[in-house]
Amino acid sequence: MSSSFLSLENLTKRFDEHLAVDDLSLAVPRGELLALLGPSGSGKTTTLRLLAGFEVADSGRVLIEEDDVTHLQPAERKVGMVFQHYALFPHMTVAENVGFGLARMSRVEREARVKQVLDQVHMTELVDRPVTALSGGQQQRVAVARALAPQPRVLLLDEPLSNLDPTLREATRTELRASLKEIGITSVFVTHEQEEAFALGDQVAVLRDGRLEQVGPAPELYEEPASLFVATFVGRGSVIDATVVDGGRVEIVPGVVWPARSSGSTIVGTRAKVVVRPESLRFTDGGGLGGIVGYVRYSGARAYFTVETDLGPVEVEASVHAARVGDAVRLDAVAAHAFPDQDE
Amino acid sequence: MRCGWTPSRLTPFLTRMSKRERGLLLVVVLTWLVVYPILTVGVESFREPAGWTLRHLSTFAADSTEWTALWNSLWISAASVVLSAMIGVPLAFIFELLEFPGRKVLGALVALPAVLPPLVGVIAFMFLYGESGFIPRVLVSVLDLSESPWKLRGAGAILLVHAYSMSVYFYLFTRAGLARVDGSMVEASHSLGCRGVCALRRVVLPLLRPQLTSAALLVFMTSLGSFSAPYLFGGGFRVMTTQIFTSKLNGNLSAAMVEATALAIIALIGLTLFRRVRGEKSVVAVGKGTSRAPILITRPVVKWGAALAGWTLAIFLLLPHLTLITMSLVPRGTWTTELMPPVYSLTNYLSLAREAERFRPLFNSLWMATVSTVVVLSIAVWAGREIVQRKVALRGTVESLLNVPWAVPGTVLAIAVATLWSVNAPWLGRWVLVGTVVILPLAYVIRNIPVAAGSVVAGFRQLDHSLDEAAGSLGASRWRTIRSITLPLLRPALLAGGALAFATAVGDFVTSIVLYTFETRPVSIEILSVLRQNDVGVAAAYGVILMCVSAAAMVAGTRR
Repeated sequence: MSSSFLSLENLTKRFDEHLAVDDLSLAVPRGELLALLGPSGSGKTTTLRLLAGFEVADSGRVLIEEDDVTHLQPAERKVGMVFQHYALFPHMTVAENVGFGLARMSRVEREARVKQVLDQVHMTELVDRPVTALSGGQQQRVAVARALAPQPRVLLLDEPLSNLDPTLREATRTELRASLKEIGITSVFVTHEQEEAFALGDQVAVLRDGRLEQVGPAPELYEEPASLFVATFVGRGSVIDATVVDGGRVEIVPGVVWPARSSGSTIVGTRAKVVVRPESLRFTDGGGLGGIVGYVRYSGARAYFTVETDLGPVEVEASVHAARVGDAVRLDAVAAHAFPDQDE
Repeated sequence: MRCGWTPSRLTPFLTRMSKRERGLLLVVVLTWLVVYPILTVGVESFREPAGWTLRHLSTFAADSTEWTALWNSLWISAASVVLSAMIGVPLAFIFELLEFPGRKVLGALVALPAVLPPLVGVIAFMFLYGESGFIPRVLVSVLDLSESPWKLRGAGAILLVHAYSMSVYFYLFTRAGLARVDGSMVEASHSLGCRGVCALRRVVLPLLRPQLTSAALLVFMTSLGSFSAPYLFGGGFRVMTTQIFTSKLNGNLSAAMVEATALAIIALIGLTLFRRVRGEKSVVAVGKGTSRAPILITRPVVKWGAALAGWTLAIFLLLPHLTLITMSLVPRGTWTTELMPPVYSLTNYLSLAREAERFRPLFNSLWMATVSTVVVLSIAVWAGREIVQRKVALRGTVESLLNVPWAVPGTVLAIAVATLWSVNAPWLGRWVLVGTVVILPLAYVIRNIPVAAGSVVAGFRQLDHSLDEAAGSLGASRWRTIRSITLPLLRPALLAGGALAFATAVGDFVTSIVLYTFETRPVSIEILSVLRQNDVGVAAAYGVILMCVSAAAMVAGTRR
């Protein structure tokens, strides 16, 4: 028996000829936050809308607590939604917005629930304020409160932080995760920013062209990417052509061999694409891949050096004073990931 | 007590319909309302009791007066566009780009002709510039003339009324366009050495092209359908609208139908040509715009010169309104040879309130305008929700159908409505409605579909679709979403569209004169009737009331 609270089983959705979601299966345990991460057009928003009931799947099922909700209307699913631009009703106050989904309650009950849920997002003092008079961060919290007020089983969030300025985003991220964890609600949110997905999600599902590439906790995605796409989309990394020496090593150029964890399907002696993270590369005095430092991007005490090599540009993270533009350098790697070369 | 029908009972039926079926339903209803009457006129003009015939068409083609009327309609419309642009465009530049004392007040006053219903504007002109009007009386007295220096008759008089009442379109459209012109584009032009006339010709005017062509189209179509001015000032000068009306009045229905078809075709050709000139591409500013602040005039001579010119113009534009108010206060038979009326009283207004037969047209106009506005707004909301929010099939067809009545002159529409709904054939969607209380509100509804739908559909386009989804996800039913989210947010669009539709209906003359009955006669028809009885004061009092109602509707329509 599945221990998941929310399940997507083989969901498929087409818009005319475009396959937006392709046989997607996911499971979210109770109280966990799942991030749907992917580039534009990867199907993450469509997946969220299928969960909400705004789109109807061509095939597959959506289960909440083992209930099949695939063919239920949005309101019948007991799913709360926080929209990308919040979709707050501009002609209503904070309290009216939050109380909108509580029409069946008596006035006293409704007021109490509105107060309770606004308290959870620390917005009680702005209860009578028109929503148009709120800052972006406050609007976001009201949108979350409104979605939570009817006590949904699942909360869906469509790029919940994309409308906030960068300085506010980090603080709100932490606050949002803390609130959702405290309430204990199972949540799914969409983002195209890896940092946001890693910070908010217990699990991150990486989507590409409507298909699931990999799902897992952030460290797993970063350290054990299942595909070249995941390795390059999640985190920074340079892609180099190499030859597979054995299950744990690749030859970059003749005489330069780096350790590389191969994905299952690489074959010894064939060409492979190797992804190497900037922090896995070192400048060495001895042998290694040669190149010229072309560009330096400073980031506090550390810097990112773009080294032009015969195999293309390679990014290295090192201390600020490790090299200067124009220096001839040699590079060695402590870890890398090898994937089969699809062109072979 | 149980209610027989509630919106929620309709919901399951509508929900079951596919997007194609919903689109088709809308197309069928709109076709029945706006295309069917016009098509019927077109078809009937080729029929006679014995069957199909080209006789009516050949009679039309052989009659030189018909061709003269057609030509007159065309050149009067083209000349009205040129004259209105010559007045409206410079005015818009003065008021949008210059700063002088009284600019704000004058800027609003310039739009005043918009609140004069067509017939009321025409009678105001008659009281002011007509042979026994205020201005000729003053000139005769001051210059010691034996008779009025001019006669308000023929093409010149029609053009004067058109230029006065339609230049406001150019003024409003150009001002709106200028307000949106990105100041940084003009500054970029200046920095590249193109200033003054060069910047105006190469940067500002091309940016204003959509607004200028829209205004030109509006003036052209309004002139082509203009009836009040040619009817009252035309004399022997015939245009197609008066020609159609005369044929109908003389009982020559087949001639009226051929003439109506000819005018409808000319209108459609005009519409197509203007659309082509305007093009599909609209010129929009890219990047962040900076609004263009008015250029402050610092030289006192120029500043006061501009103020003087502005105030003079405002007085010229206000004179018809002031004349109308003055005339409404003059009791019957008290003003004969004097320069100014010797007696002023509220007698005319009191007679409207006290005499049932005089009050009746006011009541008729108000209820018919109210009912038609409610109906036309309901159609607009239905269409807007289906094409914008539900994205039903055949959206392009629906939008075209919503615009059809706009391309059809009022007289043509009136003949079409009179033709279609004078036969009882329920299986063909035809009932005898002519002569009933339904016919005028129905004609007003059809005429006002474009203004109401234009505003409401644009309102729907500005609504964030996720608001609807948010309401749905929070458990709101379809009707609760419409009632508590869609309609309140559409309020500005509903008010604007409703105000325009109401003002047009309450002051309508052109369709009413073809379709009214004595029981349902609206104010405009009564104005004509009392004018014939030489009861000028009462006619003016009716005019003032219509003007105030229109103005109140416009003010309500611009409230946010």
